[in-house]
Amino acid sequence: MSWSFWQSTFDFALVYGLFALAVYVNLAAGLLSFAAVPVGALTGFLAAQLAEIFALPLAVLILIGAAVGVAASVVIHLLLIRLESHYLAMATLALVLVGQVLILNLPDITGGVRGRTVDFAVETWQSLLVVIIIALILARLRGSALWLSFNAIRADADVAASLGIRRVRAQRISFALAGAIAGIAGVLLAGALQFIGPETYGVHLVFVVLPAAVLGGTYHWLGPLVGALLLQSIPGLFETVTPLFVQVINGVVILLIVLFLPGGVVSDDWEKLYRRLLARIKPEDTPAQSEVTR
Amino acid sequence: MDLFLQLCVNGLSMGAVYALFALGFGLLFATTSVLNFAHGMFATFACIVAYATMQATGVPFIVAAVGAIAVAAAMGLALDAVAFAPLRRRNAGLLGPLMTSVGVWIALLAVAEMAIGQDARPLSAGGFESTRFALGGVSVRWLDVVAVASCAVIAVLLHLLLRRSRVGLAIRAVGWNERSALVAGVSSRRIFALIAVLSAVIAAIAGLLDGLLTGAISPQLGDELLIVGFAVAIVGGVGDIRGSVIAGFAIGLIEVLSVQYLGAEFRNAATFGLLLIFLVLRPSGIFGRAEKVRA
Repeated sequence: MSWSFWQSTFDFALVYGLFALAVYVNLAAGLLSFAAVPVGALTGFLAAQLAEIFALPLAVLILIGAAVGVAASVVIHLLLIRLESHYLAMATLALVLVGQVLILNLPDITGGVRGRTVDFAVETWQSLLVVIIIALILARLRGSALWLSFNAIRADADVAASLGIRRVRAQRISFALAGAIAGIAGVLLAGALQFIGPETYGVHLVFVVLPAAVLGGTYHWLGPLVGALLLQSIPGLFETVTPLFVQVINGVVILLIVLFLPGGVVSDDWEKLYRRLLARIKPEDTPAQSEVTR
Repeated sequence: MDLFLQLCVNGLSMGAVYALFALGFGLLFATTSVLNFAHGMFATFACIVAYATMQATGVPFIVAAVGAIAVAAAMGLALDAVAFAPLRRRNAGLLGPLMTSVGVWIALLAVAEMAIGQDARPLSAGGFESTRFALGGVSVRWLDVVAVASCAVIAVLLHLLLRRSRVGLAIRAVGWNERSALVAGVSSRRIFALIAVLSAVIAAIAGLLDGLLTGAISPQLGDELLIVGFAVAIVGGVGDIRGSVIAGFAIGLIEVLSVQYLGAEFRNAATFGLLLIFLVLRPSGIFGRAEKVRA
């Protein structure tokens, strides 16, 4: 495939990777939420509208996106605070659908069913810089007390509460952080596509972003980025195959990774898989292994 | 007034289809806590198999439909065996089965498109779908009656199964706590298989009805049903039979009436607006109970 194709793949891997990072931040605190998508829709269309009226530089649009993303996410968390687990996932999925309907019914801002053009563009180096900055922030956070509280809540919310960790507060922070990332991602997606419509931030985005987050691995911030790159590369790697069959491969890859590498590509599941295979082939050679439960 | 009643008839028959879809989806969720995004594929493939069978062999619709439902049942078993059972052994939580169902959905959607292409194909029951009778000033299709009756019958049967039979007791036991059910002597493997088959069969019936009611099938048929069925399930309370039926009919009516009186672009707006209201005010739905479970 040509260089421009791979550059385009890389561009979208970066932006979808950011969306996936937003989902990852919530997962790290024990919450499955698809709110990143409607938040991204909000900031994407907002940025497009502002760029049309004011001709703002990209950095300003990104900062506005982050701020609006945080605000929107906190509001969403306040509304859905009583929901747990499955219900939160379903509620945020419903928000995606509601978001699509809103986009359709506000044609002045969103262009309605036909969509709208975006007056600002995003270059690869700009997306890359944003991703690197966010990655550095997440890397810094990884060893922090906040992230430790996330880990505790994810492991057992009740025990965490008995240790004095306030679950709702920590989860609201995760929502806010995810919202900032999603807000930025929404702006970048608009700039990358140059044309956005009701389908841009719809259910299809959920099924690009969620596999990227989960396949990449939910234990390290590198995971979602790797996952997004992997999934975006599949059409390029299988270029001789018809596009429909590429989708079949896509689905099968997702299925296989969840079954055999449940922690994702960026995890120690490779080692575990190797040991399982070794145990099947040569049971007597497998060294005794004390499994430390995660 | 006649137009209004006519619309109500249409709304009720579509509502029956939505209710059936929500029943199948909710059954699987309520018993296994799995959000199956591939649920729409049972409906899609039931229609495709029925269509292809009729095209290839010319058998009447009812024969093709029975075959299609059997295929859907097999698909349900296969999906459970491949995508959900391995994860149950591992106690994978919410995200694992959800992701595998997404992977299967992506692959199957592509297969559906490979089978019949992107455009809609006509689905016909040999003219039965156009037979009508007059009820007052309203023209009712026999198909509408079949749709509503199917929904009512399946809902009642499901209720009797779950609440008045030993198998139903076993299903509810497994849904509550698989390990305890095993201790009590329930074969959870068979129960999961049964649930998978039931869920798929109900979805297939809903899909076939939808295909006949709209007169067309496409690869997206199941997904369109899944989206509205999902809204119905939430509004009615996921897994609750009464809730799914009531919410299904309500949303069917709302959809048809808002298209007529507000405009076609509002078709989904009213449905999802209702969904949003419920999510904010009463997220467990009309009859649901929100449980405290970890992600």
